[in-house]
Amino acid sequence: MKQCTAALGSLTYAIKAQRALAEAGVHSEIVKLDSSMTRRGCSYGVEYSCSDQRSVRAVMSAEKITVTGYINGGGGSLL
Amino acid sequence: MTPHTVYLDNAATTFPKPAVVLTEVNDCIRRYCGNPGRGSHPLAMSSAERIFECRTAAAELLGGDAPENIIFTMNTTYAINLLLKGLLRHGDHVLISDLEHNSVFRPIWKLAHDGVIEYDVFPSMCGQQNASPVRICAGIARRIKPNTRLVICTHASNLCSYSLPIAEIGAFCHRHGILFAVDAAQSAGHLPLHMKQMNIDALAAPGHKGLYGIQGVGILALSDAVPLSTVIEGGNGLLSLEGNMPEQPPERYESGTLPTPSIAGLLRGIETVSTLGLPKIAAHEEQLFFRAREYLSSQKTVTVHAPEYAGATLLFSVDGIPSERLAAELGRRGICVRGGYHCSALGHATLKTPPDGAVRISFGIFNTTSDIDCFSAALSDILA
Repeated sequence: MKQCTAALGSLTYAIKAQRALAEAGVHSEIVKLDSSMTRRGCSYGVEYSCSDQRSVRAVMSAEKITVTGYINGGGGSLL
Repeated sequence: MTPHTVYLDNAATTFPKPAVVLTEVNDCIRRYCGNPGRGSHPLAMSSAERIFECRTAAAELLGGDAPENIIFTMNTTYAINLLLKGLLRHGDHVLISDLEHNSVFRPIWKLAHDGVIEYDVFPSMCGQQNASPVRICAGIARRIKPNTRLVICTHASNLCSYSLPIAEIGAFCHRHGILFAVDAAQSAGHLPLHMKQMNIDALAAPGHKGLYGIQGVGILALSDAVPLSTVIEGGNGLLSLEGNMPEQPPERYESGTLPTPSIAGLLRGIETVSTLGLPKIAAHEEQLFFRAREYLSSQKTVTVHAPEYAGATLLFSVDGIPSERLAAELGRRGICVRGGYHCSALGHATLKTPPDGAVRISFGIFNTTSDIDCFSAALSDILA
């Protein structure tokens, strides 16, 4: 299954996002994003099935979680 | 503590701690205490998860905006310094109450002494029969200037059980476009707090007092409306290739390793307070207050300061016995209390205590009426 990633500003936001997504029935994994994905050094994101993309965007918006970028495909190191 | 020790210094730090707090701290250190936000391994993640749970619990207890607006600091004093020095700019005017602890007064004094800000003191009306929220807000209104940026005040005094009407002050401040901050060192875990409903923009609280965590962690809770400059910069596991600190709280304000065991313990402390409920805690503290006040009021040489306010803290002095000597004599009899000025010259001046200060006794959830009776017996022995 194709994986997508939502890049987030911090680990705190990644945990918040994962918990909000779980409440909405969306499974996700917290991933650490490497510098090639962020160009700013260490950052975090949540990885999920691309088929959940619409739900993920809705949850992030509802929870006011700032997403610094949506990345098609995985690529983060799974925690 | 020895079997004969009675601890009545809960306003300094609560003792003992709930068993669930001790168990969590122990579990954290033994089982999962990685460095949160640093590694990508399970222990670092377990620590980060527990810290997030504590942010969530604190935000809920304090009626805050969101868990990410809960910033962990070393203690309340650091939280207040982080707020004041990250917020205030050259030319700002600040109002503080006449009951402030040095955690507020000293950083404000320093900023004023350095020519950064100016400040004025408004009357808390503690001990005045005609005190009312309207009159207190009128006292603030009389001192407002065009450049007044912030009102910061204690919620509950650290000397007596008087509390300021922070909901009314918060509403007043917001009507006038002024930010409002609260020092909740003596009220978190004792009195109801709700940042959103009370129009509180920033709130500082200790983890180790009324929230029953261990020492080593404090809280600065911010509303979305209060972006601060950073005061401490350094590593926090994010955006490591950049010189700038991250833009978003809480990591923006949390450089260096967090005290995960203290924060994990605080989570269980907050849960303990939430389970007991503030009304039950307040009723227990008032029962102890009334018993102590009844005894002290029966002693001819004793003065109870601000006796009309019942709660977790009681201040008294004895004619002819300096407060520090009296506290030491009680200590020799196994009664743990605090004499002197309690880091609040402003408050002691407001309460008109003797020149050598006064003795404070302060209650917690583990105190019993027999503790008060032990205290009374020890003081009677000293006065005999």
